[in-house]
Amino acid sequence: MRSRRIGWLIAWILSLVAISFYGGAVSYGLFFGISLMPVVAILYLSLVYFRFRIYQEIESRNIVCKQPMPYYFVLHNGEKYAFAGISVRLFSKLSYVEDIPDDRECELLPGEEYVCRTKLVCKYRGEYEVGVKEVVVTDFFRLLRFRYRIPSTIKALVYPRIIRKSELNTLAELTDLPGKELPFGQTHLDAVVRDYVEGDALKQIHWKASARERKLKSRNYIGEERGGVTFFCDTKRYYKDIYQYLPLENQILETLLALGFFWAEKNTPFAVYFPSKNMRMVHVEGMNGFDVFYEEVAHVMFDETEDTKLRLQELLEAGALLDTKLFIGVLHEISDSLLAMLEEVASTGVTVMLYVITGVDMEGYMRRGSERLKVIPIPIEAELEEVL
Amino acid sequence: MRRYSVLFRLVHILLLLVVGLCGLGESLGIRHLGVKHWLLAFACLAVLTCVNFGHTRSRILVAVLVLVCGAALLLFVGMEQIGEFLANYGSWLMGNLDWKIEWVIGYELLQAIVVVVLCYLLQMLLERYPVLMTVLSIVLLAGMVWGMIRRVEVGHIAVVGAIGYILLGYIESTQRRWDKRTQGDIRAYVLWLMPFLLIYVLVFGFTPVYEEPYDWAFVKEAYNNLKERFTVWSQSIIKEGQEDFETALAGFSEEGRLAGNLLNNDKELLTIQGTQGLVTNLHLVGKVYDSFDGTGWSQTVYEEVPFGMDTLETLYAVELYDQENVRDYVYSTGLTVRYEYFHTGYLFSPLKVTEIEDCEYQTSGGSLVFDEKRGYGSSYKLTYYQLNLDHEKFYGMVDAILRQEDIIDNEQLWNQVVNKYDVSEDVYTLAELEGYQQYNQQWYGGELTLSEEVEAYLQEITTDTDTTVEKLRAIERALSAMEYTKSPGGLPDSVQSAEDFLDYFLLESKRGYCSHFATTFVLLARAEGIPARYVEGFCVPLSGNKKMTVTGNMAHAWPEVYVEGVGWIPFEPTPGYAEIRYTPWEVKENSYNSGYVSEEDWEEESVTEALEQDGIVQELEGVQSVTNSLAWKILALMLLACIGVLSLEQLCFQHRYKKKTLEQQYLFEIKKSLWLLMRLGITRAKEETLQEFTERATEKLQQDLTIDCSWQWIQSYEVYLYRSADATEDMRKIVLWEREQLLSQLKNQKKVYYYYILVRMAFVR
Repeated sequence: MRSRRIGWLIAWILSLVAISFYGGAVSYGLFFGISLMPVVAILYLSLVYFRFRIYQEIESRNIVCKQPMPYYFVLHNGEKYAFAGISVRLFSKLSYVEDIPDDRECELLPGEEYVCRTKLVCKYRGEYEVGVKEVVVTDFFRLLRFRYRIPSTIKALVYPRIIRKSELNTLAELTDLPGKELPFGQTHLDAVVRDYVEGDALKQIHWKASARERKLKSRNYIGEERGGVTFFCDTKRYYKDIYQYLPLENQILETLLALGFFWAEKNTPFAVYFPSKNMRMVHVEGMNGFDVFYEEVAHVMFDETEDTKLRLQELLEAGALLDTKLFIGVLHEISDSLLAMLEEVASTGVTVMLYVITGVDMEGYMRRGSERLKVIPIPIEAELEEVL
Repeated sequence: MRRYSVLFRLVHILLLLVVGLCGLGESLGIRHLGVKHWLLAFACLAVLTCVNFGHTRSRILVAVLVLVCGAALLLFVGMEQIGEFLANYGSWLMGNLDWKIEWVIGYELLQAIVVVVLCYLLQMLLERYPVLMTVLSIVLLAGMVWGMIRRVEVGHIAVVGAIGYILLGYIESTQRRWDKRTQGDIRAYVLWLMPFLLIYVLVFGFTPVYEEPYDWAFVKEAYNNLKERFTVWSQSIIKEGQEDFETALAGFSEEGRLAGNLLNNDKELLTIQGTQGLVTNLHLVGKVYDSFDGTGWSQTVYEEVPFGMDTLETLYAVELYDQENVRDYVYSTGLTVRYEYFHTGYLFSPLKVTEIEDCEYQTSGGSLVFDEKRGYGSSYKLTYYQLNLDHEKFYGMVDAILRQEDIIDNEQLWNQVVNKYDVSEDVYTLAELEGYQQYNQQWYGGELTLSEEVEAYLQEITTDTDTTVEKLRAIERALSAMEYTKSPGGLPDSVQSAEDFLDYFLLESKRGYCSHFATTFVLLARAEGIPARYVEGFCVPLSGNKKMTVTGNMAHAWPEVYVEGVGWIPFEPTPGYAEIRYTPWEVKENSYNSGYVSEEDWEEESVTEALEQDGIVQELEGVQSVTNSLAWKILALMLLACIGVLSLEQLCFQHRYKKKTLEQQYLFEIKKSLWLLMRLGITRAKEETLQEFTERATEKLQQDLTIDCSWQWIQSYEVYLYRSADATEDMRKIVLWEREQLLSQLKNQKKVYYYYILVRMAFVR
């Protein structure tokens, strides 16, 4: 196309020279003939822009990350003139289609259509546009090309993927893994009950005792302050650009889900803290509660104003980090002060594991780790099946 | 697909035809291209297309048509005539004049047919070998460029056709090289782009064509403005305060020295832009000198004289002498003078100036000077009177004034002249004129004693002269018979006075340039007691141009003589300059507008002359109109033959139809109805049942044309096909009736298409 444009420009300049030195039909004819070419090309492109329609559909707009979803688009010519060259550009940063159609243009005569059936894969959890992004129209002289964004794009709601691994390499070194004898398990309840305190979970309520005493009674877990696994999910939004924050957040949530699945499959109860807006806590006891946990994770809201260290501090002060056997933090950033705080937690006998989803070198922090405090860096674009 | 092939070929051939007939037609002998040529070309094209793409029946029909046309022509014109006509075709092609003039149209029509056939064959070849289309496009382009350079006249339509064809070739070539994911037949592609190509050709067809190259006025204007500003700025710095005398030339200098030789100087000094009525060459007065010391002139009088008094004196003389025919003596016109690479305080103007605009000036002796020195870019407008010098009427007036015959000073007339010509803001009186006359006598009269030899010489050349004017003209003639040279050498040391100069020049040297001759004339005039002055300025040979650049080479010196009552009159004693000085205009007897022939008069005269000599053209036109009418008759005959053949074919068909069995008639009507549906875009698919076809047709007709249709005929056809029922007259009538219904609805929806279908259906067999 560039060579054609240069060729046209040279021809146009020559025609200018011609009309400067020669009058008559030929010189002016050449000048106007060459000058009219882009005018007609623009007219054609404008008509195509206003009249061309593209149809695209995806089987479901709720998609699980990295799971192929049937998708098709149709280019149709309903006009009375030919579409010389039409090609499409797809959203490719957050999603892609299998069997990508190449960049070659389609020629559509009146009444003809081109249907492309393929599968669409979304790379990250979130809500974003997928499928055809732009239409590129080339004129029949191949002088001009016009690219425009189609107004009716498809917006998909993408759920995070669950990495189902029974064994996690990163936890292999842990000898004192929490088991199902831990206090969140129903079989290990202490019989002693106490009065209901606001904030107690429903399942903590002892209904028989409540009925007997005609007031709400909660089970009192005593004698075992430390038990189970506690997760902390970093919900701070670190970037403004969707192409930067979405991969990071997706990796954080998928890591959390993979770890959660690991413990749920082992029937080990765990609590997860999501510090978005108000601190939310989810108790998961085995695979039965996993769906609730997955829903929570899928709808986690990340917030730029969130302060991760402050939230951990609050949890520490509330004792949530101390009455657990294993504390797992899935974070994006760590600092010396944060590490010092968690070292304190580890010194009380709690095993602390920090999964840091980052592209930054974590060697220094890893060296500061100990038997009870481990820093595990996970690259943002890494395959979790391999890393975990 | 066949439809695409036909249209594709027709489009190409049409463009080729435009190039062939409009562009190359004349060189192929078609000098009177008109509607008849095009009609014949289209008919021929239709025949060729029918033969090429039609069914056997169509081909036979066309063959019969052509034969009938040929036979009709044979009968109408005659075998012998046609034989002779064809026998002379070759010699006509070769440009031999051995043919009858009335056959020209016939040959041209024949040539049009040849062009169509050639175009058709060429296009067939190009379709088979597409690379040849690129070659043809290049040839067309090269031909156009060659024609442009050689300034061959080519019609706009031909150029549009040629560029349209080249563009079509470009699109096809682009399409062939374009690697697309889906790509259809190139013919369909090109045809479906036809709306845009049509727009292109239409717009292109209406673009203007100029005979002259584009002048880039706005670019030039911008460039000139820029250049102008820069030059004004640079010249004002370089020439600040200087007087830019062209000292190397005799024309204009600080001191009118008569020493040295003339040098060539083509420096642009002034630009002159004349207005309407500029009929004589122009002499711009620069500096006026009064005193001569033997080797050079100097200005000793700087007294301010009344501006325009000299012009008023002349106009007064003319009005006094011949009030009815003023334009026989003087003629008013205007000038714009612009200073180029010239920096001076002197204002250059013609002698009889009446008004100067756009500058501040004053008189200084006989010269006009600016208040401040002017340079590049300065301009002013002036109005002046041209003198009808060298015309006997003019000199007759001068003589009469000098003799004071029948002329008495008339104060009333003077006042009228002053008011009428409005030369100055000041209202001059007759008394002031007298003062001015005395001033001229005093400063330019002088007294000169001549040597005996010079006295004798003067006596000799002025023998047989009675009047002052005759005397002056005799001196002028004598001097202009001498030798002109740009390198006369310096004056000898012995020349110390005006008398010495005259002795040296008239008796020894007898050669020189304008300054020498002007000086001699002034001195001899003064010796005769006539006031005279030496003037330097520019002699501008306008030669009919309204605009001219004054260069240094145009610098000139000439004498002016003061005739009391008439004013200053220039003379031209320099050899070779009289032709430039004296360009009198014709004077018509008893005509107020004496001699000035307007452009309209000239045009009228030319047209009349041309008409008188136009006998041959009229004769040729007569022959042409006869041949034209013959051609039209032949074309009409052919058209009638076509209609006749087609009608005959239709009659034959009707006859055959009637002879058919009822079943055959029924099936034929079904075929026609199905054909009609096909034309409306509904064709029965291979595996489609009649029921499915009916449903689809109903839906499509309602959607596209909002036509409701009853499908009883299909149902009856189904019964006939699958239940082995016999065809009945009722069934046939149902088909006919329902088709009529469908057609009448179509007529309401698409009238033009309805008639097209009707014509086409008449030929369904």
